[in-house]
Amino acid sequence: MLRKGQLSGFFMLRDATAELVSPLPSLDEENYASFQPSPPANTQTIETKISANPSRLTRRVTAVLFLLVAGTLLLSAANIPALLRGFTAEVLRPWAWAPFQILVVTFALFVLEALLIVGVIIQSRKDRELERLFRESEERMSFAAECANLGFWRWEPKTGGFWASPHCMKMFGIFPGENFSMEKMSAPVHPEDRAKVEKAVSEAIETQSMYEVDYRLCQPDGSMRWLRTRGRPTLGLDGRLATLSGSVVDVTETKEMEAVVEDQQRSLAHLARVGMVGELSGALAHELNQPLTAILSNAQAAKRMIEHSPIDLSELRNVISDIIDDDARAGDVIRHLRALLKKDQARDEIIDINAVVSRTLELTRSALTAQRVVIVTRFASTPLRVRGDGVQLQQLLLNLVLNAAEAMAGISRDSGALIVTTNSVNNELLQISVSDTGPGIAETIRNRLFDPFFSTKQNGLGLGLSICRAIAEKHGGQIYAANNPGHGATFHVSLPLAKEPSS
Amino acid sequence: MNVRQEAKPRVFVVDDDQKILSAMSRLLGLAGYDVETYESSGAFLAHHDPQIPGCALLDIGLGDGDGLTLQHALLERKPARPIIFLTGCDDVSTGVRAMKAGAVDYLTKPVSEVDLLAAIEKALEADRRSRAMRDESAKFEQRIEQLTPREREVMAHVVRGRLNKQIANDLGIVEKTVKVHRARVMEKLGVRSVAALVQAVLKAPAAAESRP
Repeated sequence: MLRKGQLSGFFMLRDATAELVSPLPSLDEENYASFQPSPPANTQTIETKISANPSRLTRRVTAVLFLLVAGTLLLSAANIPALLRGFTAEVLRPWAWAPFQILVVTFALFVLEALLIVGVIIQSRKDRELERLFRESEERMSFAAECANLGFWRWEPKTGGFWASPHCMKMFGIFPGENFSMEKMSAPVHPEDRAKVEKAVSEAIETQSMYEVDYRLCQPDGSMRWLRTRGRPTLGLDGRLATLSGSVVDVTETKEMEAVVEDQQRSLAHLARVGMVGELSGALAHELNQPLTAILSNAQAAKRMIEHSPIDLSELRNVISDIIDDDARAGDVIRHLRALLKKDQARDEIIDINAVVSRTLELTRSALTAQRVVIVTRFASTPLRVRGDGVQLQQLLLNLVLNAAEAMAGISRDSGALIVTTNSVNNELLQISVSDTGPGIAETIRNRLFDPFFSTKQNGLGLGLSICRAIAEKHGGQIYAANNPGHGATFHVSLPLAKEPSS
Repeated sequence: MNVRQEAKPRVFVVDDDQKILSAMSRLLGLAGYDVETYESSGAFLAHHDPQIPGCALLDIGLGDGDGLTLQHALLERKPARPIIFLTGCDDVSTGVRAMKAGAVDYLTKPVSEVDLLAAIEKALEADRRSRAMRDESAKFEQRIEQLTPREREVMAHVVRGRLNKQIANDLGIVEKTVKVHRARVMEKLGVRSVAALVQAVLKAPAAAESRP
């Protein structure tokens, strides 16, 4: 029983680690075949020690050997009197046959037994060698698994059987010898991640394929660990789930590192955004001043109206509603500004790109008109929805528009045009193109445009476009630049369209 | 009453922001001005009649070109219209350029009623004064047209401060005739003293000296 458990453990390891670790040292085919994996029903306890048991073949040979030795001894014992008699009586008659025959047969039997004993000894040595290999490979395996922070498990829903490697149990806070089950394995999964895990598993069962899912595991002390499970379902003949086996890796450190990197990226993007707002301060002041001017003049007009009699109430009402509208307009500018200046967690929402483009152009309009740049927009007729962070996407566009404006700052007046186009490609991607009539991009720098700290501007940090690329990639898209046939350059951003339209 | 309404001074407001136009129009209307609003410098120039008295209130950042360009366009059309600038962003160099080009004032948005009305009053006063001056010199030019060539010669000499005797000598006529011409000039031009004559001639020097 012990051996069976042990070996089926090995089989499970082989199953579960097919993709993860190199195959075990090959076993002797005969030995291998003699141990068919039997269901390890409720064999939670795994002993790592292998006892020195000879193989079944060796056992049989030994049994035959015992019988032979016993038979030989019996034969010898039974014949001793006859022999003695023969030797004494027939010592002068060596041609007498019976005692001699007995002697020969007995001798032959002893030789045969001796041969068999040697064979058994050799076989048992081989067995011991095999066991050593087993043990070593097992140790290597568990050492490798522990080093790689890997745990293995296997579940059979029909019998309720569950097996897990010691390291796997350790990860889930189960002490050696304690009972472990599928329920115990899924109980500490973070409630927010449970649906995700269940979805991954059920999809894998449906498609009969591997699954991989990351989830948080609540520790008894209240902390969280990130685990990554790769699993594989196998179906029985009846088409129902027969086994589910897999590996578990603790990816907490990776996740923490990713979080740190993401946080730094967010900080950087935020800094760049603040810088851009600074560049736009004049234009923003203008955007604020317009409604404030209208509000002040309207309020002063209203004051004059009240002093006149009779008071024109309907006109007064118009004045007040104009004040309210303008206040809302100023409020929008402030809200907008605050969104750009705020360092927020990345948001995940459905956004209409056309609206983002309009907002961006609103912010930059006065800066562009001061530069006598004509703005042309060609929007796709339908809303183009993407999934992601609206502020970041706006930052991307703002950056491209400001770059375009800067490219056109040096050229002769009255010829600047900024063309912003949005359209969808095959209902899967959307493309935003920001085109200018500046000098275009020099061929020598085209490959380095999006590299961090690469800048052609005198005071540029060289982060703008690299942040743009990071934002595009974070949204599953890409960004590239090309020179226009005539003059100027165009930056294209393609993003995947959101699958389900927001309700 | 009707007469007084027609005499209302007119303010031309040009701003690309519709909301500001309507607010300004309300405020200035209530402050007793006749207001005309335009959303672009193009529309303003297309309808503009320099003969109408009044001043212009211009936004610096206009959709189709900046306010300074519009200022130069207005300066080319005589009689020149006094201009007040309203700006969204307080840009010193633009302000200096505007003032050097003869703007009456350069105000930043949002502008207080007091500052705005004071600037408008100042601009309208300047407009009134220049128009009055123009009217006066035009009147004087008409009168000079009525003088005979000989009378004009005598006037030129009188303005230069020469005595009757010297004039008679220069022109080769008797002093008495000079006195008659001189009296006619004073009468036709409606001036009573030599000092008034000199002042009037200084106001319209071109007309006075075109045909000496």
